[in-house]
Amino acid sequence: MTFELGILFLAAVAYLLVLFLIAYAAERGFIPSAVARHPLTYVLSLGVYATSWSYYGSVGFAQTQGYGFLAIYLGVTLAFALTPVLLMPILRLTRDFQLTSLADLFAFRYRHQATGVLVTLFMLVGILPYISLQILAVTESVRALTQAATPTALAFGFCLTLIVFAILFGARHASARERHEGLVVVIAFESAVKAGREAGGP
Amino acid sequence: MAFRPENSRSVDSAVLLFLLGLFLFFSPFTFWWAGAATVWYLPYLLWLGLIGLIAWVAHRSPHDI
Repeated sequence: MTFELGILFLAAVAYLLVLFLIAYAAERGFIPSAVARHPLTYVLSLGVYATSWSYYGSVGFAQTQGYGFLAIYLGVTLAFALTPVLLMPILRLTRDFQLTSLADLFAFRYRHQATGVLVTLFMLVGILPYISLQILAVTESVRALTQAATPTALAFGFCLTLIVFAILFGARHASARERHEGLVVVIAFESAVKAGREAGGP
Repeated sequence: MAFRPENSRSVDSAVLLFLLGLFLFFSPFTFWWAGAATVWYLPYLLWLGLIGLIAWVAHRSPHDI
């Protein structure tokens, strides 16, 4: 099944607009808090863990390693099993001392600004290849769907959209008390769409 | 820095669940049940059971953030 690049682009823009609208509605309180703060919304928002690359990676890994591909998901499940030991103390620490990032947490723990800078640099170096893989996954998907050459303009547009989204709904409120409701709701919506698509079959 | 005392029961349950998960999925026992698996969805059933147990324990724990 192939699509016209233009149609695919319009569909992507329309979907992104829907996501922006949902995030905006959640931030402004148009979505009832019974929905926005429902445990199911938070559970669905954990779907952010399953990125486009993990989708491709898991399929390939399952083909070669069998059930071994589940390890990455079981690991995070076990991390949540340790919530009272592992996650809750960190959450309390960040709430009590208004720490907003991992760099903050380390700088607070080791009482030195240089530690925070170092952690930020390590995270940047660690995350860049991962983000590149995400962009590659999106462009490869577009190429597979349109049978066109790698649309670099689309990849660039995807990067710009990511930046705008991160600024508007992520980094704009750098406060430990901030719940990032817009971001949580929109990721939950995305996970629901993905789960619905998977449940729908091929 | 004043840490609130943890609920020891929920900590115990969390560690037990973690160990159960390790035993089920990351031990020689895993090879046994994976080899003897009669249905393809057995790992997913076990995974779902583990998630259910974690949710149940988390629901019982005090939410004092």
